[in-house]
Amino acid sequence: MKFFISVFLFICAHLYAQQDTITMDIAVSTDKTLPIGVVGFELDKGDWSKLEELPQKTLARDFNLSGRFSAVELEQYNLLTLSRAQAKHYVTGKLSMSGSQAKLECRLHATNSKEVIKNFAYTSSVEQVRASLHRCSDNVVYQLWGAQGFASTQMAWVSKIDGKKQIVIADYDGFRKRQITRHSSVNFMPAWSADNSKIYFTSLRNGKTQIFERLLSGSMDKHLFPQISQAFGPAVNPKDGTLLFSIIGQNGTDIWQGNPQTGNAFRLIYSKHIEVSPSWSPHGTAFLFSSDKGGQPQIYMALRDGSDVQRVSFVGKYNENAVWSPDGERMAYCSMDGGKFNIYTSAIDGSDVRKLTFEGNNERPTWSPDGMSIAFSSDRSGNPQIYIMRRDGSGVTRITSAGENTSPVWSNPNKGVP
Amino acid sequence: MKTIVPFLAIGATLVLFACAKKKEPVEVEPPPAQEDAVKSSPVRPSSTVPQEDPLEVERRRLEELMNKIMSDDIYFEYDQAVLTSQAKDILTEVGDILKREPRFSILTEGHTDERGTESYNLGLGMRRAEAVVKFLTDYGVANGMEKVSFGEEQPKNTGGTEEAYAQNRRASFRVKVKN
Repeated sequence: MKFFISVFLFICAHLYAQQDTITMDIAVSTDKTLPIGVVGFELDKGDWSKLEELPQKTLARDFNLSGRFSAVELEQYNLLTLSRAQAKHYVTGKLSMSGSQAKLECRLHATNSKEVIKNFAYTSSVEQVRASLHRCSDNVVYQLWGAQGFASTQMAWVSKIDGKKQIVIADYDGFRKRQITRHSSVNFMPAWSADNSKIYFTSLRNGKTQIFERLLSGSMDKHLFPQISQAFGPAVNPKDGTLLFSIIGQNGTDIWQGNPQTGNAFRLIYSKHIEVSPSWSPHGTAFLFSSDKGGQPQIYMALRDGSDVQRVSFVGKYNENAVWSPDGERMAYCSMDGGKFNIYTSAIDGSDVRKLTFEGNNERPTWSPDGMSIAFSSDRSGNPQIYIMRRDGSGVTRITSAGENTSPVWSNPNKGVP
Repeated sequence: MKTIVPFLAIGATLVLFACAKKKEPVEVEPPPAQEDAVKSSPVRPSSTVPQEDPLEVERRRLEELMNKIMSDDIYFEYDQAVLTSQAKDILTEVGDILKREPRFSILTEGHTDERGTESYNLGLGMRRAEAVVKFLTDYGVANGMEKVSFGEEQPKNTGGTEEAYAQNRRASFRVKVKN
């Protein structure tokens, strides 16, 4: 009898230990995604060599990155496969050349009846077919979710080019990249203007950190707030376009607010401690920032005038780079434990902490404009690269491959429904 | 023309900011193999050449002192801006030179290793530069002293090892000579 009891206790202890290990180490997908079929497009005999990939590949990636869908890819319509994957809808279409213009027809079908629910048509140059496909995915998101997707948004990040950090921008999926800064010093910490027409960034080109503005349709960099000796890390108020940034003063690193149009700036958060990484709330009424006034960097919240400062991170010794979610409910941030950074989210009051990454160093989270996904940089596969995951940490997809890529910043929502 | 005169007065070779930050201290005795070339060179006479231009002697003396200061990096512990006893010894030497040479002004650059976030490291680098300048001020140095932080952006060693990190957690100097 004693033997059986001890065996029973051993099995219980073993099961308990196993369960404990599992809950600690595996990111479980908590948000349900909607399966959607992506059936191969029909291409006419035009010259499609300029396309980076087949239309269904671009669409499937958009759906998988949207945080809403999981794509079921098929060469041809197959009711059995789609039904087994529980895909109630599928998308397919046709690409045809008409003169020098490409005509893209995208159709959303009901799986069982093959009935066309909605038909979308776009005409563009061959180079712009990719942009049309992104618009198609946003239209499908709108049709099935009643929400605005982000397939037509952009991402800015820092890329090492000839050994120097430069600002680049690209489609949000990493395609169609273009270099924005060219000065052969360090250029980093990009931020989009509220209307996505400008990039603010920090540069060491004059031997110290200074903030610059670049109009994306131009090529000149404008030095902002020259009255401040050393400033860095701008964050844009989404409502009025004013900036929060850090300045290195005579006595510590403080947070200031400045108007990039008038050049006026004043201090908001100041102490002998280090105060960095501001991030506005979606309505510009409050902001998050990091301070080490408790000994190590932790996240705090303040009202827009710098008053009513409250600590909002309580788990972990080193919490930094907090970004406020577009719905205002949560924040994403990075936290160092065991010498490695990982991405976490929590409610804005610091409760309900969820760890989203578990491999390598994971830094600089940035929310998609609809809050369904989070981009970040990670060195999990060697050099740092940019990744996108769903807001629950599942569906991690790398969007850059060569060189070193860090500090992604998602553009703001495009105006108007697709 | 007016703007050029002051520079000529102290010898055109004196640069405002000595940019050759990491170069070795100037050799007073060049190696024998190079001696002929050095002798024939009007811009770098060695100490063995007679009838030396006093301005050139002064230039070389100042350059040696500047190189001495610029080669004296101050190292810090991880995530700390507290001066170690070794750091204080070096800073005492730097302070002595600065007190003797009131025309020198210095720029103290604060650096960190790559661990930690870019933003926080810019703050930490400044804290290190501040610790250095505070020590020198308390030591009685009244020369011009500016501070700048580069955070983790200008590592000395990109190795990514503990040893490399230790070399990157530092404050370094640039020296400027006033007319």
